Formats: sequence, structure tokens, C-alpha cells
Amino acid sequence: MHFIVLKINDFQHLPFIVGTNPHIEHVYKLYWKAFETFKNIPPVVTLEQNRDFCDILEDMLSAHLVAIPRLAMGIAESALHLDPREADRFMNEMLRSRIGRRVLAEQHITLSGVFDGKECQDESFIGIVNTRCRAREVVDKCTALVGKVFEEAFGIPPPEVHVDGHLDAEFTYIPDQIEYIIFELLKNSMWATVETHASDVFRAAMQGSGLDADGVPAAAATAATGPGERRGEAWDANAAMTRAASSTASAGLVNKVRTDSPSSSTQPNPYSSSHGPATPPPPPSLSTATTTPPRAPQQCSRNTKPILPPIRATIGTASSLLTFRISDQGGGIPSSTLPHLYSYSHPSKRKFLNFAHVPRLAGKVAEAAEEINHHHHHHPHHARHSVNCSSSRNTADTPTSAAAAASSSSSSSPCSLVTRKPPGLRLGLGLPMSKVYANYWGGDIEVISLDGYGVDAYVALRKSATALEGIATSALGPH
Amino acid sequence: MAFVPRIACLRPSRTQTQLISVAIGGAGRRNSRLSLCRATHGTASSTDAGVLAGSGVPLPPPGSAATSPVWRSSSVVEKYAKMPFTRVTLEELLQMGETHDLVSSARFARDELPKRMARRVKALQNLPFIVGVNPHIKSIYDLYHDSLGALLALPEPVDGPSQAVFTEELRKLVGAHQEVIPVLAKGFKECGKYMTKDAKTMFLDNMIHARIGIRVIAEHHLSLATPSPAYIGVVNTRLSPAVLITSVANYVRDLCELNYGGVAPEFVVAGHTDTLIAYIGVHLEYIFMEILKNAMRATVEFSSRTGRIEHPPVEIVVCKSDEEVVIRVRDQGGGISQKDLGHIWDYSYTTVPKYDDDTDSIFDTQARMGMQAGSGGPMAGLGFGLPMSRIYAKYFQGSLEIRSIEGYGCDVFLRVPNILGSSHVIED
Repeated sequence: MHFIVLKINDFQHLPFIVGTNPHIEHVYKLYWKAFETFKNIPPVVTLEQNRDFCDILEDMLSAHLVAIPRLAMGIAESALHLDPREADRFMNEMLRSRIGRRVLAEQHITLSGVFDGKECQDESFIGIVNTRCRAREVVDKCTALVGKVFEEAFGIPPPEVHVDGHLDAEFTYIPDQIEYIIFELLKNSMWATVETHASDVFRAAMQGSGLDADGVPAAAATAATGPGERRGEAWDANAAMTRAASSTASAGLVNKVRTDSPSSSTQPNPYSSSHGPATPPPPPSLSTATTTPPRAPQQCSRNTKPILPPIRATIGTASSLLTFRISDQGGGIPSSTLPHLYSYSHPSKRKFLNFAHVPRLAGKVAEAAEEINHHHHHHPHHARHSVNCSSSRNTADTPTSAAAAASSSSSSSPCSLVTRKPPGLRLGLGLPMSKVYANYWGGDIEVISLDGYGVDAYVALRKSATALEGIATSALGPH
Repeated sequence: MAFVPRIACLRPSRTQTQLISVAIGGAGRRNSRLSLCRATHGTASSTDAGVLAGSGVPLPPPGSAATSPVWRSSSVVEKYAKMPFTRVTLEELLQMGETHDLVSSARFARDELPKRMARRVKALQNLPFIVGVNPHIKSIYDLYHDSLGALLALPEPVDGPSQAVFTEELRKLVGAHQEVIPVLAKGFKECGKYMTKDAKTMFLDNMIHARIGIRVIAEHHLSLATPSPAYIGVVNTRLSPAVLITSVANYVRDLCELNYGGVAPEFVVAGHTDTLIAYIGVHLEYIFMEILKNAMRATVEFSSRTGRIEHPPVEIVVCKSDEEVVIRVRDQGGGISQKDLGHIWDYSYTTVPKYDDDTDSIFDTQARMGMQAGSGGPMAGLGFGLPMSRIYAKYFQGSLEIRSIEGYGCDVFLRVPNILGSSHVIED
């Protein structure tokens, strides 16, 4: 609870105008509620009380899943009012503290569960810490997961990941954290690889899901979709994905169109549907291109699969340090973007406005796994965004902004609070969060770009278990 | 050569004394320079040269203060060291090349070089006494001092013939300065401990940096005098990093096999291998040499430490973007330990063990000595390779970085910007 109080204090120190941002305000209220709740919990003495406490913790963890996306949106929107360094510092502190609290909470919940016999654990685990985390397995698991997301997004097999180095290296870590880092790095590498070496596939997939090349919802349709097109719709996840599917992309039909579109395919893949008149969506694999009618991903009109250069994952271990290196040939990072890789509020990070599509984010790889499952179940997205975000992206000519408002209200109709990102969507959060995770236990991430060729990302983790948590504890000032 | 220690203080007095050059060390070379100095015209600079070199006065007996080579001619050195040097950009140098105006180029060199040389002499003079009397360092001091004199004695290039004479003599001087850094390195290895690390680092950084500038100016003129295709003076406008690094890598492989026996690690060059850039070839060559020496040596030694049968290849990638070319050299030599990582940029820091500390067999000792003095040049051990490579890399706003994966290997990143049209100033 001490952490919560510190963070509330941070919130209170934000500039007024930033604090009034609806997203920031929402999260602030969440924290305050958490504070109130904790304040009222009696000391835990009995096992029964512990179980109740764990339930409260779980609820809180669940409710706070909105924190990251909302905060990020709030910060991005407040870019004008907040010095970028301050914004980054705030976000980093928030995330660090959040990790700390969640680690404590989850550790306690897990340990209690094991104690109660509700869960059983491998003997190498102590709560959520795995004392025998196998580096190779982390890489393999993340490779498989990213590969699936990749195929969902692009319809072609992902680039291979070759692992070398100390394949049997082991270390002590919280699997969720290291998996998050490796997952994000591999994802960045794979995305960059396809963007560079199969750019038509990439662009088609992006356009198919209503995003531009940066993974940002495109403000305007790039092809003729008829007069029903509204720019304000860009913020509505549903509309973005169905817009391309049919020319009748009017609000009321949003959900209906979604269900209609994958008419002739067993496996719905709305992200590769074409812009033009409704055509049956293609099967995901490019290798069967010859049998399908021409549409966007097939514009390259080649029957051959694009050759994607492999990604190389290297593991190095020494007495006190374990290092992962992820090397790709994805074209590198332009030098103009490089200084802002870890920033949350730089203008180049307008990607954050994508958070409208992802209301809840735990920052875990497990989400990606569930994402895949959910897409196959046709689950509509529910964008629980405020009107503010769509208006912030509204451009001048929105003759049907009224309809946009209508659409957002209709899409906030009772769909469940499920958060699943369209696989092609990029949030721009991967690197800053990975850095927070890596720094948390005294490690670090470094990204070196060979512009025009690829990127080398290094993750260095301490193997000794004595590194203290890196949470800033600023003194509480008088209020 | 007999070294006679001088009692006189290294900080020279300002008395104007007619002294002659005392033959300490390198007798043959110096005599030729003496004779050169004697054949001077009656220009102002040659008077300075005369002050520096003396003209025909017999050598006084050694040991007398009057002959101290260190504080003689201090006024001349001071005079030139004080002169503001011209801040020339690489672009201006290249422009001189375009116009093929050899006389102007020669005059520029003739005017600029003494100023910069004098500053070097002064810097050497200001070293602590105990460092300055080290034979290696002393020889460098003498070299710079005498070269300054020789330069000042050269005729002012005003026309074709005098330019030719100047150019020829300049060529000899440049040749004489070829081995300055290894000699300095040896000297500092022996007596660097008498200086603070910061003072040593600053001296060497300045020395190397200034020397690069001096040589760029000198060699630029020399190259203009003997032009090659695709070269503008000292700049190769069609330099292929891939081709250059391949030839350096082959050379280093030979060196490696000579020093360690067995088969040296293979290497692979990938990426944008047909990239062409404009750069000063010898700079890149030096940096490549040092990086590859480190990579191959590390690979071989790590293999023997871990019982690895086959050496993994050294992987080189050339990447071109709009602004720069990046060359990445990747090895599996075990990486750099955390302990060493903080020191790799220090001068005289080397992981080659001192041979006198070892109790190994005589063959190991021989091998180690061979590594330092190997027939192709030292393989390792002087501790100058990395810091100097970085100065070369940064000279035109490039960079040299190392990332270590401890227990596995290293990645070295050399960034080379496009220098044509560079506004980089060749400063001291």
C-alpha cells in the first residue's frame, strides 16, 4: 500500500491540466479506490482472512489492467502540457511501481494458492519466481507465440529464429517479465523483417486492418469504400476492421457486417480483406495464392513466398550476468527515431493513440496467447474509449461525425470487456516497458541500430538474486 | 645508441643560445638531417632552423648544460607553438586537390606543419621528467624536435622546382614518423605509472589527435603530388569497406597463425558489400586491423580455454544508410568480463599477460614476445589499439562502440560518416 500512496502522490504532482485528462483522472481514481480499499482491510491473521485478502488482490489486479493503456493515452494526449522528460519519468515511475506492486500481489496470491493446495507448482518455482528459468525455453516459447501472432497478422509464415550460444543456460527470474521482454523484441524484429523484405504483404495487412504503415489507425480510407466512410470511425475498433470489408460501413451495421463478411471462408481473417467491393476474405496462407481471387495481399502476385531473413537469438552466460541478443535484418531504426525509442510522449509515438483498441493491458505474454484463441472465435472488440479520443483524431471534414458518435455509443453496447488487439496493431509500448522490466532487477536493455540493415537488441540480466528493486521512494511532501 | 642522462630541467629556460644538435641516438639519420640543415638559404625560418640545428659548430662535450637537447632552442619552439594555426576543413583541403595547385598546397603545408609540430614538441617537453627521460619517449621527442628544425630549414615553395624539393623532403619526414605510436606506446607501458591516468590519457589523446591532423595535411599534399585515380589527395573517393576489411582480415589471419599456430578463425563479410564510400583509407585500415586482431585473438584464446575444437568465424557486416556506413564485427571470443569492460578504452590496458610475470615455459615466453613484436607487427599487448582506433573513428565524427555478451563474444560497431563535403576542421 505504501507504493500506492507514493504513486498517488505522483499523480497529485502532475500539472493540473494533465491531471484533468480523463484517462489520467480515471487511473487516479482507480488508485485512490485501491488506497481506500487497502486502508480498510483488517490485518491478516488467519488463513481465511488471507484467502479473502487474495481475492481482493485479484480483483484489484484485474481492475487495474486498464491502468497502462489509460495512462499511456493520457500521457500521449497531454504531450503539449508536459515536458517530455517529465512525462517519461512519470510513466517509468508508474510502471516500475506497478510492477513492484503486482509482483508482490501476485507472489502472495500464488504462494497462498500453493499453500492452500489450490495450485501446484514445479519445485523450481517459488511463487511467481522460477529459480530455474531456462533461457532457451523462454526464447522458444516467445518465438512460437510471436510466430502465431505474425501468421494471424500477415498470413505468411514468420521468419525463422535461430538460437545459439549457451543453450542450457539457467537463471532465476520471474518468467512473465523476461518473457514479456523477449516477446516484444522478437515481435519488433519480425515486424521489421516483414516490413522490409515483404513490404507489400506488410502494407496489405496493415490496410486490411485499417491501419497505416506505422500500425496507427489510418485517418482515411485509402481506397474507395463509398460515402459511408467516416474519419471519426478510425477510433472505433470494430469499424476499422470492418471498413474494408464492405462499402456499407455505416454505424448500425458495424457488428452485423463483421459477422457477414467472412462468408466464404472457414477461417475468418478480416485483416486481409480488400478495400473494394466486398470480396470473400482470403485464406491466411500466401502459399495457396494461386487458388484465391485477387485481393490486397496478393497484389504482389507472386506465387513464391517472400524470403524473410532469419532472426538470430543468442544466449550468453557468465558468472553474474546472463545476456540475450536478438539480431534481425529488419532494416534498422532511422536515426531520427532512435533517441525516442524509450519515450512515451514523443510526437513520433502517436501509436499510443491505438490504446483505444486495447482497453485493458496486463503487459503479459499470456495475453498474446489468448489473443490468438479469441480471434478464431470471432469475438467482437469492445473499445471502451471515451469520446475524447475520437475527437482528438477527428479531422476537419467529418460530415458524419454525428454518425461517428452514434457508432461509438452503439459499439459500447453490451459487448464484454474483452481486450484483444488486432495482431497488426502496434502500441509503441513494447520497448519502454521492456526497459522498465529489465531495469527493475538491475538489468538493462540496449538497442543498436544498423540503419538500412537491422537491429541488435541486448538484454542483460543479473543472475545474482540480491539486486534490490529499483523503485524510487521520494519523500512525501506536505500537502 | 648511448643514452646520456641530462641533468637539466625539462622545462626549458628562455635564453637564446646557439646550440647544435647533439647526436643522441639514430646517428645515421640525424647526420643526414644535419647536413640538410646546413644547406639552408638565408630566410627567416632557416635562421630558426639554424638555431635549432646549429651550423657547423663542433659538438661540445656531452654533459654540459649548454648541449642539453631539451632546453635548447626553446624560443623557436615557443614562437611557433604560439602561432595560431589555420583552421582548415577537409573540404578546403579537397578543394586544393581539385585545383591541382601544388604550390599552394605546398605552401600551406609549409606554413601549417611547423606550428602543429611545435605544439607537439611543447607537449612532450611538459611531460614529467621521469617520463621524458624514458628512452622511447625521448626518442620521439627528439624526432619531433628535429623534424621541426628540418621543416623550417626547407625552402619556401614558391614555384615548381622549390615545391618539388619541399615535397621530396616532406616525404622523407613523413616516413621517419611512421612508427611514432608504437614507440610511444612502449614508452608509456614502461613509465606510464608515473603519471596519473587522467594526465596520461589527456596527453595521449591530444598527441594522437594532433598527429592525425599533421599527417592528414602532410600526406594530403604528398598524395596530390603523386595523384592516383579515384583519390583526391589523401581521400579515396571509391573506397570499398568490404574489400578493405577482407584484405585486412586475411592479413590478420596470417598474423594469428604466426603467433598462435594452428588455423586462424575464418571470417565472413555480409550485408551491403558493394558499398563504396569516400574516406581516408589508412584510417579505416588501422581501425579494422585493431578490431580484427582483437576478434581473432579472443576467438583463438577462448577456444583453447574452453576446449573448443573449431573456431567460430568472425562475422562482419557492412551496412549503408543515407548518413553513414556501419561496420559490425562479431566474434565468439568469450566476451569482455565486467571487470575489464571499464578499462578497455584505457591506454596501456591489455589483457596480454606480462611475460616476466609468468612462470611458463620458455616457448610460451617466446610466443608472447613474438606476439608483441611479431614480424607483421604486434598482435596485441601494447594497449593502444582500442583507444587509438576510437580517436581515428571519431576524427570525422564517426564512432566506435563495443557490446559484450559475457561468456559468448563481442560485437564491435564502427560508424563511418560520409566525409565528402565534410565541414570537419583539421584542428590541433
